[in-house]
Amino acid sequence: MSRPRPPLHRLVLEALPALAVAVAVVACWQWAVGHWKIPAYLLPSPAQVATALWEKRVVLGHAFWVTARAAVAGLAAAAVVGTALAILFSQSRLVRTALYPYVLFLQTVPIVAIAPLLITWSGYGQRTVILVSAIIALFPILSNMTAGLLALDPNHRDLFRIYRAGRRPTLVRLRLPTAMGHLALGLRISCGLAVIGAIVGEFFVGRGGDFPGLGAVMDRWLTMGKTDALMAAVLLSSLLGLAMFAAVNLLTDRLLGKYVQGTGD
Amino acid sequence: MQPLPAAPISCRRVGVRFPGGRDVLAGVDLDVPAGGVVSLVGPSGCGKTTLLRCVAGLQRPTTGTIEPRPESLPPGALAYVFQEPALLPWLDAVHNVMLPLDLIGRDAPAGRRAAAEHWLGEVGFGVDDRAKHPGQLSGGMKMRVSLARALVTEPAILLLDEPFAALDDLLRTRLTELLLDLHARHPRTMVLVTHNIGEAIIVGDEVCAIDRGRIGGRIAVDLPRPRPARVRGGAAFSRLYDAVCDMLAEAAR
Amino acid sequence: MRRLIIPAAACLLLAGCTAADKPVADASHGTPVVLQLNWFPEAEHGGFYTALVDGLDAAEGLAVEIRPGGRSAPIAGELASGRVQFAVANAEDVVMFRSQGADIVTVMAACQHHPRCLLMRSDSGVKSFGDLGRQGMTLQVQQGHAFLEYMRAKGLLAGVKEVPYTGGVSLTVRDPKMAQQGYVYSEPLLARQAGVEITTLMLSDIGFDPYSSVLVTTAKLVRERPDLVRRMVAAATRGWQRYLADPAATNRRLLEVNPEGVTAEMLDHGVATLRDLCLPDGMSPERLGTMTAARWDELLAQMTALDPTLAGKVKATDCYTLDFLPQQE
Repeated sequence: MSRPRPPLHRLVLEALPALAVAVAVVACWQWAVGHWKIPAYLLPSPAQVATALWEKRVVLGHAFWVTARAAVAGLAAAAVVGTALAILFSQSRLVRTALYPYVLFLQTVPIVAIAPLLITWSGYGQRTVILVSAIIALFPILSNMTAGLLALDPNHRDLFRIYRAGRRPTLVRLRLPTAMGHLALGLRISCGLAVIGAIVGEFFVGRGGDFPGLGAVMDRWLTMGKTDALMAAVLLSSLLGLAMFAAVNLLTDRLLGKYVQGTGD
Repeated sequence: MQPLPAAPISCRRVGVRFPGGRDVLAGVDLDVPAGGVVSLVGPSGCGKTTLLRCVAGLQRPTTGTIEPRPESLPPGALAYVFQEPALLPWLDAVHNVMLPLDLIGRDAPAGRRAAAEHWLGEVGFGVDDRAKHPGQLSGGMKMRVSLARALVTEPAILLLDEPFAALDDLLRTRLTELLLDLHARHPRTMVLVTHNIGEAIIVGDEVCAIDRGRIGGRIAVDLPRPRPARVRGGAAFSRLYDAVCDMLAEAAR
Repeated sequence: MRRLIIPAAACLLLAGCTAADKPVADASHGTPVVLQLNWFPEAEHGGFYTALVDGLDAAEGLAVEIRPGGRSAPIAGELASGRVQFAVANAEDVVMFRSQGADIVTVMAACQHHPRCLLMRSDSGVKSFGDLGRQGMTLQVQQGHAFLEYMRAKGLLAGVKEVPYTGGVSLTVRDPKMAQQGYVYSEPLLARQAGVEITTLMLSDIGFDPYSSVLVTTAKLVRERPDLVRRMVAAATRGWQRYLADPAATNRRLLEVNPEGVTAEMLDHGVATLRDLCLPDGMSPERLGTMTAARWDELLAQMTALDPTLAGKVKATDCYTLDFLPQQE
């Protein structure tokens, strides 16, 4: 079973140092802008960012959910494709050595080079944004899952051999459950990447649906020199990343907690 | 579920050479009568685990023959108890014990569960603990589950590789008694690998010494069964203990 | 010999570093002045380069360094920090900078008309702005530009799919349903060079026509060093007059500083178009660079209509000064 949850007041106490740092940073920032009379278009003060956040709350609210949906869909797609490919890779060393270099290549080619190609194939729509997000989020899931599927406790492997379990039962009953812990790790790394991918996708695709996402509004405010609104959008982007990380952690704890336990020895 | 008849084991000139030229086993002869128990003792690295793995079919011998050939046995006829409990952490105790039956496809799921619960009872595992996961169990409890898992298919041959090595003396004694008790009620051919001489004597019909890949000697254990714990205090036991020590020292030279 | 390799390599490395930083300044005497461009050097900056190349800056006692811009030219920041004294922008940019609190002033406007246009393949069937929606075109634009909001307010974007513009003409050339933003003397020529017939729609034709290639500086500099500003305006004006008459030497320099972005053909075409933009309707060259209050009032009115918050933040009279320009007759 998963770790017992600590009581609420303990959690608050644990969070206090981090909160104190945030307060200190904001205070220094506000003071610095005032003291050195930094113009708003260079570095807005926290107050100006907060004002922009409030003034543009409707646009930002819609943008947050648009990007969130794209990032979640991208992460899910990456998880499905990553797991499927990992299973394929784990079954055959030949397949692994033949295809792994191309997966690496996909990771290293900068997305600014791939995005226009994706748009040519998939068009200007939310689907392309999700595609960009999935491509950027794929690798940690794929590499962690592959490692997980191949990393077997030797005793477990011997146990299955003693009872002459075939390829499929070994995959389903042993390899996949063993890999679940690695999948959880891969998901945690990838959820931040999925958010980045969704925002980058929006830079190239623009508004994919009814409302512009965080990437699209950031692009627009960058062109207009509205640095305060831009920073408000950046703030929301990191909040989105944090929220997804927390959600993925919670989900993996609930669903995959029992797989992550150790070998029980 | 039909209990499989206990099968005799016969090893003739079994040798295992690892790549690099090292002979882990050389010319090993070993006989275990049907339903009999042989204890293999020896220092670390002497090859006793390798011999066990050969009998189990986990290691292919480079030379020699083993009867019965592991591949000719029906799955479930042979069971192996590892040094660590090696339970699957995502399954609870009952499902861990059910696993061999699931893998060989014997019986309906309901029957498998009943068998698992039966054997958990046989090894003294509490009813309340059945739904617990390995992470929630102590070392001794996990070992009991491991034993139950090995017995659930009612194997003809039971191979144990230092099963109690990681446990404290008290648990060790208790589980050794359990093993004896189980053997008494359900005799099957057993090979026990251990470096605990007392354990080797009290469990086995015969104690074989292994050193550097070769059998160094055999001593028959003529203690009558059942063998309660106080047997260890008796004179016969002490004599056997000294004899085994001498045999091991002899083999080491 | 071997022992010299490392010191030699180090010298080359250092030389490379310093060479990259070497400014495009010819005169070594005179007041040092930095001019920041709002894009890569192109024909729209021609006159400012002529002032440098033909020694007109030096004649006014100025040692000018021209800094090219790029995809994002942080003009407001550069001016505010004092790292540059002058910059090139468009009139609508000045309004935007002032709305952000930057105290920027226009001192001279090289182009009376704005080169902003939309371009698309002629076989798209688009002949006017209204056709964009009717033909269901996809338009590549940078969100946030004033001209886009101007079109939107006029209902010209209904039925038009807006997608980000990330540069070049390749998508437009390949797809008759694709349109894009551009400047009338750049992108249409690039597209024609790719072999397709191009239609251009000028934003000035539907009433959005701010001054372009304007010279801007800070209000502080105007207050504290008006003589410097006067000299810069004089040199720039003469530079533009000369560029429109005889661009050969300047275009050679432009090719040198931006070999990837311009071709000789583009620059020649650019100058021909600029003559109409800078001296329209037979305007005499002596009047080059002049501005009127009426045009600025009109621009502010248009932009405030699009964004009402501007009314409180920007006054038309603050955006420019006529003090350094020849007076209206």
